[in-house]
Amino acid sequence: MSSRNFHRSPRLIPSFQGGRLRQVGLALAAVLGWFLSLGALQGWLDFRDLLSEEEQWFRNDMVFLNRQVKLTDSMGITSSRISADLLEQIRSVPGVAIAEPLLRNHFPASIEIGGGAVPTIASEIFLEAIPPELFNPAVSGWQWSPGDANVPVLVPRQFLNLYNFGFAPGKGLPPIAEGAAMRVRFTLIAFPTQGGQPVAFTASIAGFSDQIESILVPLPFLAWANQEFGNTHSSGSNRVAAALTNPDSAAFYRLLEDHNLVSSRGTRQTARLQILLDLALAVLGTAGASILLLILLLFIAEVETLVADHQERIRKLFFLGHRPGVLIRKLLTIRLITALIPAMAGLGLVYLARQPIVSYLEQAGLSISSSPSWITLLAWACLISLINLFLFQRIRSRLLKLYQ
Amino acid sequence: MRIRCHHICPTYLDQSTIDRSEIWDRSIELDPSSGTIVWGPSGRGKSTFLRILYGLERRFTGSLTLGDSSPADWPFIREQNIAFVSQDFHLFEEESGWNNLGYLPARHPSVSDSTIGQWSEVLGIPQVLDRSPSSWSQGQKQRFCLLRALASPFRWILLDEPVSHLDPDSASKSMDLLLSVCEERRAGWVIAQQTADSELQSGQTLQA
Repeated sequence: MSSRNFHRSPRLIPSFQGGRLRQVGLALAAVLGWFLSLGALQGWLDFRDLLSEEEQWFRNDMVFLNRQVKLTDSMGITSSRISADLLEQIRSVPGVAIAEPLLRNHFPASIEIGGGAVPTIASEIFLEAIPPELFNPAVSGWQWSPGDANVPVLVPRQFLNLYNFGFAPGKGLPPIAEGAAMRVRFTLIAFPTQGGQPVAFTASIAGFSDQIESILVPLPFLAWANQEFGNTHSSGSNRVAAALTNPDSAAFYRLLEDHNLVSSRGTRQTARLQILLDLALAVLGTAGASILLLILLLFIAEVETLVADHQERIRKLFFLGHRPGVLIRKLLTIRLITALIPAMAGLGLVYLARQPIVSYLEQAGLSISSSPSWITLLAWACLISLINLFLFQRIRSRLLKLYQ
Repeated sequence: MRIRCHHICPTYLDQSTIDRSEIWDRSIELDPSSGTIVWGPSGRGKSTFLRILYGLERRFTGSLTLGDSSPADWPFIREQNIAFVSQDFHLFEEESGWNNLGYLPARHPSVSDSTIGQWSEVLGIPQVLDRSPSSWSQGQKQRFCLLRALASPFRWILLDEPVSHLDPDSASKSMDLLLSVCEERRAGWVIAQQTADSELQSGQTLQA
């Protein structure tokens, strides 16, 4: 009698019907595709984080405008104020989304820090406030209502640097880290212009920003304080905060030159650098999207090849009575294995390639997370699910067509 | 489990063929207790009739039921209920005979390896089980396909000119084996052949 192989069911659909070399080639192409597309996405996220982490409080497109002070302004012949007409002109320039005057204090104010064992530091200050629409929409906790015990303030980072590297060493005081400074409570004192006793408020630093040049308090507080302690008639705007939709708007820069205005953003070259960075990120994103599309086309071609390679075998199996569902499951298993392994390898490569980049940035004083962003992982999971769902439909329809 | 055909007719068959046929556009009932012979010259649709019964051909009008099942259920009931010996052998050329048997989705519980061995002796093909079909003759392939169909579970077996490549002695042995297995399983059979003459005792003979 012959050997008894009847109980050993042969593999209905072998994994490498179309040639092992071709399968390996397709898998390597898929690994490369995943690596490039996920790498592009991760790179875009990192760039965005590196650019945005400097500023968490305000819109990145916010600039402050003021008139350049001339000798005639100093002599009282002309004014460096921004008139209502000029404000309207700024608002009407293409590329300017919002332009609002900054509110400043109309009463004398000072701060006092320290007391007890710590030497007291006191200084006169001036305060400003900007409308909430110029803040980053993600900012929370920056508010004040009449009756609130604490007044939050935003401080230019440069102020802390001046303290740490100028004032503190001269007085023999230790430098203060940002986190520690934000835990310190101090006293904000308002001196009513109409006379009367100064009013003290407890204040704390809510944060530091490189984008501002003065101490900011919430707009409701300053509006209320001006009403309570200030001269309500001494209004007027010296400075305007504007949000730009087009940082390189020629009309905007022409307006600056025509009206002797100065922008906190700096020169047009700085704006152009910003545009070039935006463009680089857009190119990177487009390249990633194109690569993803190529991957999808590659996978479609792979499915067509997979079914074409097994077409004759599938017909025979159908003839022998195998159910279409069983064969679809077999093909999908092969498909899942050949899709998941390159996808996981691509993701692993993104992780590995990230490590030297993290080290390089750290040496340059910049930091990014050492692991890929959850957005990248989510995009990977969504893409692999969508691609396989699409391929499942494709395999199913191709097999059912063979069955009929 | 009876097969009921109610005016089934392939959509592509010409009208003259349909008019002189006893299977097309008629109401017929196939009884598993007795076999059925479908005969006729080439081109009358005998193979098509069997392919329709097996669920491989969907291009027809009329209605067809196997017991209570309709053709839409065929993929799910065929595995356990119908076997087919077609003129196309559907063999896996690179595999041995044993492995070819292994591709069956199911095997009748009473069919052991030794049963396969005995049947292969009766059919005169014991030597093919360890060899691949590329080295078999047409007659050996035909007998192996009968063996493969008998090994699967079925309540109906459809045979399309199953002994066309066999000598009379081998054909007779093959048919005897077929009938004994069908009798043992109380299964029905339908054979398509070119002439109405047959050594088989059939319940009905229908001209295609």
